[in-house]
Amino acid sequence: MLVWRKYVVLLAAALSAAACTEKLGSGRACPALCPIQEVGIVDTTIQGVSLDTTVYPGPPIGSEGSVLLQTRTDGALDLRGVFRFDSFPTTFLKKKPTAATTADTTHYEIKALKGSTLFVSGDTTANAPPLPTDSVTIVAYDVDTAGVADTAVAPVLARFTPTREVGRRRIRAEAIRDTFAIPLKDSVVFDKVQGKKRLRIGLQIVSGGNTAVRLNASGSGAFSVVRFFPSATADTAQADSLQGFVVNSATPPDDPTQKSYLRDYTLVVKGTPPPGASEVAVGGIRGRRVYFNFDIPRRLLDSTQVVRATLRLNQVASPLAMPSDTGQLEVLLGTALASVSDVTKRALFHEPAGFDSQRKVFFGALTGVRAIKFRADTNATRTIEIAPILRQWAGTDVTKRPHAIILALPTEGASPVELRFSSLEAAVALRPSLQITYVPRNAPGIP
Amino acid sequence: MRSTFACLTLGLIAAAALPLGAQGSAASQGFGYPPGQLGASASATVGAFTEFDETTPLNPAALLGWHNAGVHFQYEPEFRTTESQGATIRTAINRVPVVLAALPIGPRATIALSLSSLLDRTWATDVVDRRLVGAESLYVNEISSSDGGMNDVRVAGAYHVSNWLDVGLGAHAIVGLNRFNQTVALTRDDPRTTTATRNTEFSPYGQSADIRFSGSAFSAGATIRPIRKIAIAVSARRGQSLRLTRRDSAVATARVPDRLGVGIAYELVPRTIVAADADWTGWSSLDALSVLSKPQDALGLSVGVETPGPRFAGRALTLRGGFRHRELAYNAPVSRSGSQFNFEQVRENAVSLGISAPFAYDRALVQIYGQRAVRSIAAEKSFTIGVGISVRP
Repeated sequence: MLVWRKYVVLLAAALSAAACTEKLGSGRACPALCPIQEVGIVDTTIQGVSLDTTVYPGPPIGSEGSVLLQTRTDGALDLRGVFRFDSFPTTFLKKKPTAATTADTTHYEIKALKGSTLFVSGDTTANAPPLPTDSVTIVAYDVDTAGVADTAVAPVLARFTPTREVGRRRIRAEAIRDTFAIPLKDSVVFDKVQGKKRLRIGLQIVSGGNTAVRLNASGSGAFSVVRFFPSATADTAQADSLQGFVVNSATPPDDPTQKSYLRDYTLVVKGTPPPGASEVAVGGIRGRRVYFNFDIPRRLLDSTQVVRATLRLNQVASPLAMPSDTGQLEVLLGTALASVSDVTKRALFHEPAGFDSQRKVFFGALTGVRAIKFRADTNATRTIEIAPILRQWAGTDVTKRPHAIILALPTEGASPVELRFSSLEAAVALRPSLQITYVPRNAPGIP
Repeated sequence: MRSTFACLTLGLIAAAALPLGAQGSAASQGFGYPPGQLGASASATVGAFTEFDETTPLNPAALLGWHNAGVHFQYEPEFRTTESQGATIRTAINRVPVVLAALPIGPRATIALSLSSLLDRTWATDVVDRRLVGAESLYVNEISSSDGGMNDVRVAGAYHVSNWLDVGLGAHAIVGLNRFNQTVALTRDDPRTTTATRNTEFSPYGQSADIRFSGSAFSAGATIRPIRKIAIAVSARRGQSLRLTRRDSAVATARVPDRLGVGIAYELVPRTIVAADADWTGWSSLDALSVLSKPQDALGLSVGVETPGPRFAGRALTLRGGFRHRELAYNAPVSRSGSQFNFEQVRENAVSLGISAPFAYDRALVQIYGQRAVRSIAAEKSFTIGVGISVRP
């Protein structure tokens, strides 16, 4: 038996050696050796955009959350602010004297006042306009208009006259982002209080230059205040403690939302100029958006898998752009149905725009397409990757839901920064185009 | 003999410690690698005892080896090494090649139900390539994987006709699910060297598919013992229609491969048996199922020996060993001209050594074996460790 075991071991060893020393040809390397076909990637460029237009003069006046005062040396921009104090109390409670044990609960009529002041706070965020190079003089006017539309510009603008000036203040450049006070004429304020009239204060930068000051508005939770010392007698020397009254609007009486917007707002005397005939524009004041409607062959959307889609846009420098102006372009999936025939209204229907905790990074909440920062003063070809949007269009009926993209800036209506692009009316080479990289659907898994 | 044990143990440990990558291999072409449907005894001799092994669901006549009701389970991980573009690619495949339950009906008949792997299409590839996409050169990372394969469910019966003749018949259901996944990601940076999260510039491409097989076959076999020391066994399988479906739609129809096997065993001395086997499978009948890969009929030849081993821990061990040369079912690409691949049939040489020992008063039999195979394409080598457990309560 031992002999046989030796034979077995010898046989196994011999066979093993024979197998291991066999000369073997070297085969092709992977992916040739991979047991499947290589994925074919195809690239094509099409016009894609079938309609482009600048739409949406928005957002609603006063909803921006800030009031922007701006002047330019060339006069191309003129933005002012309006702060409404439509009601004041006519009585007040006196301060409890130090020696008294109980407070005086009598309501005293305001018969005089002193120390009227408007308190506003500057924008301290990173998005604030650059600090002015010199001190800024801001003048306050009584801009109350009776009997005209609340949001009309011209009647309000007509009140910015020297005769209606109610106060002015020169503010150091570095103090412009802090809370500052503008002294008001006591006689004007008292007249409003006593006569139960509206006090509507218009602010304008009169010191000239390229100056921008952003003030917090009530929409952002920062309420501007008018303060004064009321007196129960005609003698202002006997004025009581300081009283403060926040912005409030009494009109329009039937629309609480708009009423809250109009507590304080930017008065656009001269906003961002409209784009040229062969351009579309996004952002600015009043805010604009770009509506792109796409016509992409169904075979590309439904019979392939898009791995990359690059929207090429020719950016045109904005005529008012300052060197520091940068726009963060949001590319949002349009969600309006075809039953919405008004393109301006279609621009309001889009995926929600998400943002990070510091509101620095914006993105489409549905597609995840991130907003891209572009300098506004540049002529350049821009590429925007929109493959996730095209994937949303796969299998959808374009006759029911148009394939649309909305371009917007987060600062629309709140900042004059705008981005301009060549439209379909521009020269062929400058028009928007779409480069699509896709993988044709094959028979997966069949070797 | 203790040194043999030590070598085998070291081999197992070394194989288990191999880094497991994931790439294409010569053996995984087409609808997969044919493990051979070998039971533990047949695997330990790389097929030499195929026709005589009662745990191998090929020759139904061999079922009479189950003298008591019992079940057999086998686990067989394979570790492959493939040379590709100067790099060594290591792959691990886990496999359960055979599960079988047998029930003797009286002293002369046995019936059995078995599940075995006809083609094992388990693989994964992760290929990074640089390609021109549009006007830009990008890294293209293709990650593909396949799980499952084609299985053979057999119901068979064997009958002891006389002392020199056993016969058997089997009915086969060829079923299986092949789950295929593929992802392609484009990046500017090499994904092998960067871990940066991908942005939305490139959307990953992904697709998956479940491929199902359904077919049938019949088989018959006989074991003849013309003289006491020699046994001859023959078995054949006749394939019927085989359908490939995807998402409930029939994609293609082919025929289950026919098979013919012949084995001879000779008892050199008491309990020491040498055996030889020839096995032919008509894989080309699967041609209609594939687009690019081409199956070819394959012949396998093997020789082996079974002999009593030493006693270890009070148990009588049995040693087995063998050698096999065979062709695999699917050709592998060896070169490429343009978009056309040039294929070549993959040949495999394998040696095997195994050991078995009874436990629980001979009610359980544990068989451990190791196979070393080298293949003719891409210098592919594999090491397979198998463990088979037969329980006869």
